[in-house]
Amino acid sequence: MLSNKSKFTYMRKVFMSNKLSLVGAVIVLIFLLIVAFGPIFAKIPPDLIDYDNILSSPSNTNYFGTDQYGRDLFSRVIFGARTSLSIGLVVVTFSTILGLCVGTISGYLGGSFDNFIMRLVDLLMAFPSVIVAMVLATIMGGGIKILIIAMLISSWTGTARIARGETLSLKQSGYIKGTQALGGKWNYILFHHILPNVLPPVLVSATLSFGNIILNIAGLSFIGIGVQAPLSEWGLIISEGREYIVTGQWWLVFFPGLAIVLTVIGLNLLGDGLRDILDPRQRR
Amino acid sequence: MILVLIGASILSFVLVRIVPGDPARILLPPQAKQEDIDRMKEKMGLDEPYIKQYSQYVKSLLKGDLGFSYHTGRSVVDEFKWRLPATIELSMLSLLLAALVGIWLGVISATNKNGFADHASRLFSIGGISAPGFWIGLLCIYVFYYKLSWVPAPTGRVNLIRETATGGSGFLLWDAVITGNWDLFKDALMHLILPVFVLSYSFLAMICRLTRTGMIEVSQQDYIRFAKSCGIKKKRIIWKYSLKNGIRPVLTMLGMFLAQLIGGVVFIETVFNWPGIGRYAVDAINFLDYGPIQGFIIFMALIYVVTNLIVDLIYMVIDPRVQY
Repeated sequence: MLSNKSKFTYMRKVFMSNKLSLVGAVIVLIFLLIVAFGPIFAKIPPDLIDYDNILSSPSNTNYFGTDQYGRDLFSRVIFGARTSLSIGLVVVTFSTILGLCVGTISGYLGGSFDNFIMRLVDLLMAFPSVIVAMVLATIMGGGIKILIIAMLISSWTGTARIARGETLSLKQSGYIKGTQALGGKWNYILFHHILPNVLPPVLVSATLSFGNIILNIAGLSFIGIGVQAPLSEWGLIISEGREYIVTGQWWLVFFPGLAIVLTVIGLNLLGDGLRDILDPRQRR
Repeated sequence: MILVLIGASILSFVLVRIVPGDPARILLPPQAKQEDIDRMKEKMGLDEPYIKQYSQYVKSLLKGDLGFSYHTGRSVVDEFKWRLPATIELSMLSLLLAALVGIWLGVISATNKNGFADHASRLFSIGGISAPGFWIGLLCIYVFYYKLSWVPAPTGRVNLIRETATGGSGFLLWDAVITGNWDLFKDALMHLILPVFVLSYSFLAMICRLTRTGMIEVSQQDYIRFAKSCGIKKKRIIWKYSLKNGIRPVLTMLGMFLAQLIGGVVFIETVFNWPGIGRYAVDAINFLDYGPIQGFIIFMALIYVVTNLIVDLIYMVIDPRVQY
């Protein structure tokens, strides 16, 4: 067993040796800084309407140009980062916790409860998460709260599957059997022995699914469900600029989309790097 | 598999019954009296107890009746019949393109591991996984329609002035070839190119990734080393021996791909004004139209079940060890 310090040094070494995951980490860090200190960069308020300055192309005062109401696109994309990333963070946190709990308990208990949960997961997985979220969001009415709930319902299943699989294989291992034989209660075994071992692969999948969730939030807002008009969100900005693409105002669509792509690429690269550290069995 | 279908029917039934808006009220003009609304409800069968409504719903499903759209006033099956060819033409061509190019790129990438081709194709596929399809679609419209005018405006399957009612199967390319209408063929093809390319991009990326890992894994196995030591040509080993086992992970995911494809179709059809099922579902959701939403959910479940069945059958063909 490595001591904690050398374990950390080892992890850092593996992470640093993978340049791509380093790039991913830097991108994610930059976006987190934008979320935290956004207003410092964006001097113009994102909802300031200026009818004298409609649809102007990128310039020195409006770095990303302006939209059909003369609002500064740079500010809107920066403030959009706050909306998109905070919703994504909430969804990914809760869906990971939910999937982790349901998956480990279902895998540990087994039997008919496990069967029921897995059929439910199968059923939810038969539909693309976007469709599930779309139907739910419309049925319960749009808005951010509903968007979060809808995304939660459709995104916990992957985590639950991974957690269940890990638990099933752990359950067979000698030391769990030993603890059981010594009379360890199920909740003690679950929290002290199974959870710490299930956590690494689940964390990796959480990072990777964070990117997917950002894509889905943008997609739902693009169709018109999800984040609603006066707020700024990347998918929403693209949907507002959609009709102007055939008349040549490309910046309305290009910049918010670029922000989405960079964030998701960053998260995916970071996730790959984390997998190399936390889950050495799957290393490529 | 039957369970998934039953679950989907219950899900679709329950989902549309907990809508806050009352469909009978939405359908009638706002000044309608309460008795009119009640009569409308009776006509639509909404005043019956839920269990009876559900059993009637399943009965009509088994008869192949997907319900009725209160908004367009046409039956969902009719609407599906008219729109399905458009969606199938779009999604199958995309899947075909994605599979061919994706597998090819994956193989190239795996055989030149860590070489230039490998890095290039991996970069290409990371883009496909990370970029939203509707964004790429819009940018392509800007570049290829507005800037270069290589393709016509995104007006759906054909130009607006053309009469679409050419009869036949509804698959425009096929119809055009059969009737020898080359003008229509060209028109339909030009409208298809961009959506097909954009839709296939993200799937191409996923297929490429899976093929790459599968091929690398297979190439380390004994029977491949044996084939190499026998002096069999490298090309033959790759395409004939490795590929069969290398694309197994792709096949396993095929069912999920198809579900994802339908999800992607929704966006691409919206961006390109494509008159298919995806846009029908979006419209139905915006009008709180029960019938099409239910029909769409059942349809999705059906596709999932059928593709998983097909995948199992393909497994038997490429891997004789698998038996059922």
